[in-house]
Amino acid sequence: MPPLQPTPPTVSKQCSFGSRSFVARVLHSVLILAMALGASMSTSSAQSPAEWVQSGRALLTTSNLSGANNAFAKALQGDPTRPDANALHATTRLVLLWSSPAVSNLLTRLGMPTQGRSVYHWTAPFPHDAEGRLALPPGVLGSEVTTLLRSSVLPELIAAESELARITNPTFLLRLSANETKLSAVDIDLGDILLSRALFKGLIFWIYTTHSWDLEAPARVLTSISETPGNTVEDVLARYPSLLSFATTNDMVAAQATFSSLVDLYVAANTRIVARLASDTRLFNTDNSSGSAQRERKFRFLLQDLKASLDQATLLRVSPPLRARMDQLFTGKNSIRSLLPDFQANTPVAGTLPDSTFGGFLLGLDPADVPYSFNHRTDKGHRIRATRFIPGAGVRLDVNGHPGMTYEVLASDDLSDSQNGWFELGSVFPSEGHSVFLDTDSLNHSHRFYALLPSSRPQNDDFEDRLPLRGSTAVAKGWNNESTTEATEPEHPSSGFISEWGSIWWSWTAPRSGYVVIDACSGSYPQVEVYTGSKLTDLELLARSQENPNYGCSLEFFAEAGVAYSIAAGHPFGWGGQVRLQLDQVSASSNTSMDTSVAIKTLGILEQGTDSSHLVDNSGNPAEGLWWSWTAPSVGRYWIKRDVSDEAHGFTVLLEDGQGKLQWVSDGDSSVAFDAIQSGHYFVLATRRDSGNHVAFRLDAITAPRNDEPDKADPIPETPASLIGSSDGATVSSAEPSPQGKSATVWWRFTAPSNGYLSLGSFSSDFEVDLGTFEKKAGGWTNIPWNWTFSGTYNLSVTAGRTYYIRAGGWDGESGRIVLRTSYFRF
Amino acid sequence: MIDSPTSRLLALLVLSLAWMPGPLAWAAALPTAKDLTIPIYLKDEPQPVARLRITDLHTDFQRRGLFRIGVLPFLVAQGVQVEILRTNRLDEILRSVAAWRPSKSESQAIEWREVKFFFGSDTHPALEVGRLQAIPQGGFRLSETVRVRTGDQTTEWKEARWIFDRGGLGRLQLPDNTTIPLIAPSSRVQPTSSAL
Repeated sequence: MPPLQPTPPTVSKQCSFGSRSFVARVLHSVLILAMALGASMSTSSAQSPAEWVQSGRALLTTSNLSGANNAFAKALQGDPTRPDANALHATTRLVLLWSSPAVSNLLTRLGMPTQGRSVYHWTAPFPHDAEGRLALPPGVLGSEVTTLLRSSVLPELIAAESELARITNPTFLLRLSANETKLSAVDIDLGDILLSRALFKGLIFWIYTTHSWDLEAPARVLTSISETPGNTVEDVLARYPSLLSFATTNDMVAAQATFSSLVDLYVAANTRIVARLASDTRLFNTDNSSGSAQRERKFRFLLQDLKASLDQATLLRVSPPLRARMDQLFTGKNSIRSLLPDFQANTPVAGTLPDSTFGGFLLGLDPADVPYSFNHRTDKGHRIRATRFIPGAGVRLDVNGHPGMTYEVLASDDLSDSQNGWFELGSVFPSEGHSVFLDTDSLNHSHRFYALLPSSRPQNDDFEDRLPLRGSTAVAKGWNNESTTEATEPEHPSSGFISEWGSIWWSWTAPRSGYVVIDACSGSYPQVEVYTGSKLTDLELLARSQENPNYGCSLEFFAEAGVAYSIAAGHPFGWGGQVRLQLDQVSASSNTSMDTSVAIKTLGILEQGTDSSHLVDNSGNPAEGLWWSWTAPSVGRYWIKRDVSDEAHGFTVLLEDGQGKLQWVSDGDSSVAFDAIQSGHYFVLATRRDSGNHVAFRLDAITAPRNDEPDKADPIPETPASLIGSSDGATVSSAEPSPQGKSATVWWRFTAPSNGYLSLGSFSSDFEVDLGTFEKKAGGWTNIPWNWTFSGTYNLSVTAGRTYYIRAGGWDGESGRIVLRTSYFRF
Repeated sequence: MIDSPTSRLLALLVLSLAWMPGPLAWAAALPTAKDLTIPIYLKDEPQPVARLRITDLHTDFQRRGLFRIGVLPFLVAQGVQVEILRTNRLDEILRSVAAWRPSKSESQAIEWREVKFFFGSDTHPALEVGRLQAIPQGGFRLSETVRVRTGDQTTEWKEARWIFDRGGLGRLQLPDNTTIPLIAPSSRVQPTSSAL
């Protein structure tokens, strides 16, 4: 609908002051002006905000984005809170950004042809060379792009996000036709709006961040980094010494606030999107394909943990035991450049990472392991960093290399002698990423050339060359790609078709008596053996980890003070790779019985301990676990939630009956909920389920889920529904059918109005939900079988008039948000 | 370093706002059907040369990151059985199979899922594929699972391209560029087809 034309003002001629004095002429003019203004105002109000929105949408169907945007702006003038006008104006203003002079000019400068830039059918490409690589024109600096984004795109994004923020109505629904989108009809609801806002916030955060970097280098150079000499990371960093240092820190506070709000928006959007009916298709929809719910969950957990880390160090649930302090990224103290290691071509040089915490952002990384995260190749990333002549001693070489690797130092006094020019001076072992080699022979020569060559054979390949480990905590690193098995070695486990176990060796003398755990659960997951004895032929096996790391990759033994132990690592299946062993002489917590239990005094506090329950004592008897005691302050539901830092323990809750006897109350692994009695004296026993010693949990009060019991089951409607609940704090009572490995279950029920089937799906839940279906009969519960379908849903045949109970729970006490999608079909 | 994330993010921005190039507007009203049997003809042959059996024809949406995007629908043929009824002109037959669309107005590619190719009266599929899409150059892009049965032997790959060759069944091109010639079990295929 085209905008209405202003109505021409009419002027009364009855106004007469006799003679047309100056005053009369002025008043007349004012009157005309007032009437004109009135006419103009009446014209604006002649079209209501709804009509302006309608006009804009009509213009969208004709691909007139600019006109549509103007119409939506007019609608907002009339009603700034109108949801559809806000959504459409925010959208069109961003789409129009593509054709704005600033963006358009930059694209032209970046070599993009001006033809083919219709947002409805964009065909204009960035320039590429003959081999298909991006080839931007010279002369455009990277900072030009970030400056444009900061100056022209960012304000529009902020404005668009603000407009979307005015949409808060939970029932908001904007239906766009295919003619309007030029793509496909789509419905947009509040979940889409929230996710769009989260996306915009992500872009705003990204613009703030990139604009803070010094990118005073040609965009062409930055986009063409490759293996070609002159274009490597090493070359580019050398050519632009301030590249990636701070250009400005003015936006740090805004960037931090933006990140924080984007996390809130994403979580809110996700909650709305998963709560939709399965049949509802909107702009953003959940992906129910295999593993995608898990990926989304990990992403969400990471965002939430990073946001929490803005206030305090927070364990990253997706990658324990790493902890983050994201606030450190916004202090303006550590630029990316200051955190980069040295590069050799495109490979980080071992031992040169200046700060393994990345400016305090990431805690818990072993500095020597960081280069492996960048590049697992061991034939690269080494170098002679510096040479220095020390009078009277010789030439000192400062060497970088991968921990655990052996490097041969080669020298030449005559490079023209290609046959015998290079000879071996000795070996270096950069145990922490760097080492020093002194060439005493150099004193006899006027000049000398040096080279470093990685050795294929590990330094500690033979028993006699085992490397010492010291202290009650030690990390052993090495590589056994090319290690060998000596002829007189004890027999190692074999896969049957690979004879080369490929052992590398360490020695360790126990500083005191106590349990020792050797963890090999990283790198190439080697098999580990511990021996006593001083000669290869006299070794006596003390402990051995599993052949298959899937069944455990650590071992334990009791060490006597002063006794020397030999540790071997190899692979029964013949493969090789990085070996990393963490040796810990465990100082087990003393609360190994009821009598020595630790009192829990405050709810919600992380309780921790070092468990030795899996370790055999000198008599070969395992201990029982660690004990805590607690007196319930009041009647209510409480729960024990295993912390993510816990290394696989289960928890049992016991109640003392007042006469020193214990009654079992409940147990579970991930969580245990129970109903406490007033002043009841409880014990919590943590026992080992898998490898690992660290016990960590919280005891806290919690509200029982409404549908904790079958007789309080929530009804499932006949119409398709997405039902959201939580099993946090749920229990299994005696009124429930056998829990079959689950300790936190919640219930729904469905009474069939006629014969048919009920389709159930639990995608988008926060854990792997196990669904069970039951009928209540005189004799108790009857399990009803269901059919699993291709789409991952469960189909349950239902009979008219009968009530079916659906149990939802997680294995080993796993609990959290449950999203139950239901559909009922009549036969 | 600058261009790539910028352009990707801006593209995502546009995508998130539902304004994308127009040709995909065909998908506004995609068909849905169950248990279809479709005869495939060559222009100059009165009898069908192949038969498509499709358990379920429905709409899905393209995935972008963690979500499926409601303005990017595409058609999915789930549980597809392709029965090749002739021994000669196999490349032409396969091209015709690849060109099949549920209606004349639809020109976009369809994704086939859980696809089995049978030759003649064979009771076991000679080729099983998790996902299959026709490629414009002629042929199929195969992914998820590619299982070829030769006699009693079965060989499996994760993904491959099926390139049609003149007159024959073509060859599989693996990601490392090795090619596996496909040989039709001609002895088991009927020389002429029967009517559906």
